[in-house]
Amino acid sequence: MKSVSSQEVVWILGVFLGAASIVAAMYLDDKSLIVAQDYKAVLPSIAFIAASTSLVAVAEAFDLAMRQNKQDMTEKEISVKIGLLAVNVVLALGCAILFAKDVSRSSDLKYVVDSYDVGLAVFSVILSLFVTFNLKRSLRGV
Amino acid sequence: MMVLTLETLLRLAPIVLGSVAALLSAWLSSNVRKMAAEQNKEDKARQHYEFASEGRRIVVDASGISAEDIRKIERAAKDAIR
Repeated sequence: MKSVSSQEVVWILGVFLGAASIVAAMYLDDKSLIVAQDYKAVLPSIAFIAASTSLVAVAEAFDLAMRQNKQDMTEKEISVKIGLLAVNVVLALGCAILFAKDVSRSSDLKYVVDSYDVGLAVFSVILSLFVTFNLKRSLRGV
Repeated sequence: MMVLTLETLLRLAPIVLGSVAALLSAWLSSNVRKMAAEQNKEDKARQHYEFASEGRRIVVDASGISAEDIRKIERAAKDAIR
């Protein structure tokens, strides 16, 4: 198990600060953290964190795919790199769609937020953090 | 009951699909790491490189040259022969 590098710490701190600012904004607005409806204004922000984090993974995958000359790669290496890029693009697209959906719904006055929507947004943040962190780690020393 | 089940399935779909994509991504990136380790091992073992064209065979001693440079030279030589 490799230890966490300073670059990764800075990156995680950036994501953490984004998440912390959402909690702070809710606290300043006198919103409750356990009432789903109170998340209505911040849902797009949570989804945006997930989208931007998973975009980092796409950038890393592109970096990996571009870095080496194609002549040096075996067929398996090429498929793995293209597969990695494809999976991450699909994941980032999913987060972007969730973000767009949350933005379009936040202006709907009749829209009632339930705990599933909040859970999905938080889950997408955790998922993209996991994926990007994993990718960053495995790209070290490549 | 049917509608309820379908709706539950639809609501669970993004979570399940997202998890599958994340696991796939993790598996692929661990593959990348493994391949890089293999490449490193191979690079360390290489002390010479060789290529053949029209009956001629060229062997070059490459001790002291970095693996990256060996690959560059090899590529240039292959292009030149082609």
